[in-house]
Amino acid sequence: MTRIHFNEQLNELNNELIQMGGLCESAIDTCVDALQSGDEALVKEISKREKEIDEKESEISALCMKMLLHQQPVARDLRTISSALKMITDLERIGDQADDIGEMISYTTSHSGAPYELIKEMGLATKKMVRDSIDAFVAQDKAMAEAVIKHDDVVDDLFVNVKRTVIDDINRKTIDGEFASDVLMIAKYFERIGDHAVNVAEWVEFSITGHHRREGEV
Amino acid sequence: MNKTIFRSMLLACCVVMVFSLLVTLFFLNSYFMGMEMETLRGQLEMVARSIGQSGLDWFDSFSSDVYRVTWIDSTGDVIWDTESDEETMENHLDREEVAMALQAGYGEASRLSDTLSQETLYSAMRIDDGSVVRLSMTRQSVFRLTLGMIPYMIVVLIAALLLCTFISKWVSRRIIEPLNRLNLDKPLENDTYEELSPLLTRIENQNRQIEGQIETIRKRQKEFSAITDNMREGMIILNSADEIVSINSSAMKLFGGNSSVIGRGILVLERSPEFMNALTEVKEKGRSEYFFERNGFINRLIANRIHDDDNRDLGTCILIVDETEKVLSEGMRREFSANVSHELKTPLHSILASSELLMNNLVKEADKPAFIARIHSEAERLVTLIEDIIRLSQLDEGQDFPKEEVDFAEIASSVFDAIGKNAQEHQVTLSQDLDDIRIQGVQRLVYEIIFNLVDNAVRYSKPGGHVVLSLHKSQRGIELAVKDDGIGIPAEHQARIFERFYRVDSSHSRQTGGTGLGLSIVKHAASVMGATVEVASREGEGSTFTVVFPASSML
Repeated sequence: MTRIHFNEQLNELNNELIQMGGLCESAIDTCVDALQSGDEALVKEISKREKEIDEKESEISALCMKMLLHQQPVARDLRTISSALKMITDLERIGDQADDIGEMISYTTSHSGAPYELIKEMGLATKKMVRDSIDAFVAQDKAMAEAVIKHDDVVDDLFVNVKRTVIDDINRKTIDGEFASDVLMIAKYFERIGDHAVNVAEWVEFSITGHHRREGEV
Repeated sequence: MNKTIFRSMLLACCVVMVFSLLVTLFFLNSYFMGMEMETLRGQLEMVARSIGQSGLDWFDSFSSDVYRVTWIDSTGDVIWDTESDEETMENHLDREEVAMALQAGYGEASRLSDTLSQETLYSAMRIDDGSVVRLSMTRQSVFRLTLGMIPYMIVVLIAALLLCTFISKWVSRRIIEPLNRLNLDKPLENDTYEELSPLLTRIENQNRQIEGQIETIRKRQKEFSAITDNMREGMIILNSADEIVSINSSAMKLFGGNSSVIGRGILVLERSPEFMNALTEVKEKGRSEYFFERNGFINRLIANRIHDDDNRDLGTCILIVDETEKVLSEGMRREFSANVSHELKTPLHSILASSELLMNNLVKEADKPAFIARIHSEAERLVTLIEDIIRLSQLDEGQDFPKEEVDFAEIASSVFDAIGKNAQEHQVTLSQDLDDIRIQGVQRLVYEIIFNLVDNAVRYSKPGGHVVLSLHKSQRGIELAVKDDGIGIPAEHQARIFERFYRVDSSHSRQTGGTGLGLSIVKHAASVMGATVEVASREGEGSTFTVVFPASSML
C-alpha cells in the first residue's frame, strides 16, 4: 500500500522535473528568439517563465521533503530524490540566468555585429545542452548525460571567442563601450547556463550509476 | 488441498476411533458383567446354603475383601451385614434384587455409585425360611475404565495425527501431480482423471473463445494502426493518467520518439509549457488548441477530452495538423492586400498632388504640360496595375479557359510590336528564334506570358543589351525561353521573384516601372496550361526565363 503511494509520488516527481526542465528550455528558447529579434514582449515572457520555474522549484522541493520524511527511502529511491533536489537548484539558476539575459537584451543598444552573432551561436549551443540534459534525465540515458558534459567545451570555446572578438573590436575602436560590456555579460550568463546544464547532467548520471564525478573528472 | 485432505482424514480417524471404542466398551462391559454375575450367582448359592444351615454362626467364619454378604428377613429388615452395622441400615424391601428374590426366589441388579466411578453388582436369593441372602461385589464402572484409557487414547491420537499428515501430503501430491502436468493450451489432449473432463472441455472452449477475441482485437488494432499510420496528421491517444496509449508514425516523427514510449507519460515526448498548458486546459474545458513550430513546419495541436457516457474521464486525444501552407498563404494574402493598397496609393497621391497644384493655379504656364503628362502617366500606371490585379485574380479564380490552337510566331510579333518602342528607348535589341511549333493552349495566356517576360527582360536590360525569344522542342517538352544580358537576379532572391509585388530592389523598380505582378501572372498563366516556369540567372550577366509546356499539348 505504502509502496504504491510512494511509486505514485516518484512518478509525480519525475513528471514535475520534466515540466520544470520544459520551462527552462522554453525560457532559453525565448532568450535566443529575443536575441534575434530584440523584441521586448519576448523579454517579458522570459521573466514570466522565470517565475513559473521558481514556483516549480518550491513545489518539487516540498514534494521531495515530504517523500524523504514520510517514506524514508533508501538506495536507488534515495538517490533519485536527492539528485532531484540538486537538479532543481541548477534548473532554477538556469531560469534566473535566462531572466538576466532577457534584461540585458532589453538594455542592449544594438542587436547586430560580429560578437552579437557569436552570442547567438552560444545561445543555440546552451539551448542544446539544456535540452539534452533534460532528455538524458527523461530517458535515464547515461551516454547522453556524458555527451552534455563534453559539449560544455563548445560553449566555453565560444565564450573565449566572444571575449576575443570584443577585445579586438575595442582595440580597433569599432565597438561601443556599453555594447561591449553587454555582450560580454550575456556571453558569461550563457556560459554559466552551460555549467548548470553540466551539473544537471552530472546529477542525472549520479541517479543512474550512484557515482558522482568530482570536479574535473572526465 | 493438503489441508483439506488432512482435516477430513483426521476427522474420519477420530470418529472411527471414538465409535469403535464405544462399541468395544459396550460389548466387553456387558460380556464381563454377565460373567461376573454368573460367578456371583455361584458364590451366592453356596453362601445361601451355608447360611440356611448354620444361621448367624456362618458369618463368624466369613472373611472376604471382595464380597459383601447381607442377610435380610422377609420384611426387608437387615439381619446381618458383613460391612455395616445392621441397626443403622434402612429397610431393603424396595431394593430391586431383594424384591425380585422375595418374589421369584432369585434376583440380581447393578447400581452405579454416586460418583459413577464404581459399580456394584447385587445378587439375592430367598432361602428356605423366607429370608433373603444378598451377595454383592464392587468393581470399577465402565466410565472409570474409559477415563483410565484416555492417556492411551491420546497416544493413539498423536499417532493418527502423524499418519494423517503424512498420508494427506502423499495423497494430495498424488492428486496434484497430474493436474500440474496438464497442458492447458490443448486441454483435450491430456490423459488424466476422468472427473476433470468437463473442466477441460470448458477450458478448451474458453481457450478457443479467447483466441477468437484476441484475433479480432489484433485485427482491429492492425486496422487502426494502418489507418492512423497512413494519416499525415499526428495522432496521440492518452489515458486519464496522461500516459501514451497509442501514437501514430506521423506524431512519432514529429516528436522524435519510438514505440518504447507507449505506456509512458506524455511528458517524455513533449514538455513545452504550451503543451502542458494545453493538457491542463483539456482537463478543465474539454478542448484545447494551439500553434507551434517544429522543424520548420507550423503545426496546429488540437487536444480533446475523451469521456464515456457517464462523463467519466477516459483520456485525451491529441491531433497535430500541419498548417504550414495555410498559415503561409494567409500571411501572403495579408501581405498582398497590404501591397495592393500601397501600390494603388502611390500613383493616386501623385495624381492628387499634381491636380491640386494645377487647380490652385500654382503651376507656371510653361510647366503645365509636364504636370498634365505626369497625371496621365500615373493614371496609366494605375490602370495597368488594376488590369494586372484583375488578370491575377481571374487566374486565381481558376476560371475555365477554352483551349485553342496557339501560334507562337503570331503572338511574338504582336508582343514585339507592343514593346518595340519601349525597347528602342532602352536601346535594347529584340530578336527571335522560333521553331514552327503550335500547341493546344490559351492564346491570351501565352500572350501574357511572352509579353511579361519580354517586358521584364527589356526593363532590366542595360543599354545596348539583347533580348532573345526562342522556342524549341526538347526532351522535357516545349521550351519557350526569354534570354537577356541584363542585370541578373541575385541567387538569394530567385526563389521569391514569383511572389506578388516582390522586388529584388524596390528603389530600382520605381525607375524601371512595372507593377511587380508580371512574373506572378506568368507563373499562374503557365500553371493553368500545365506548364512550369524556371529561372536561371547570374548577377550582372543576365537571366533566362524558361517556360516548359508539356509535350502532350503539342499539335
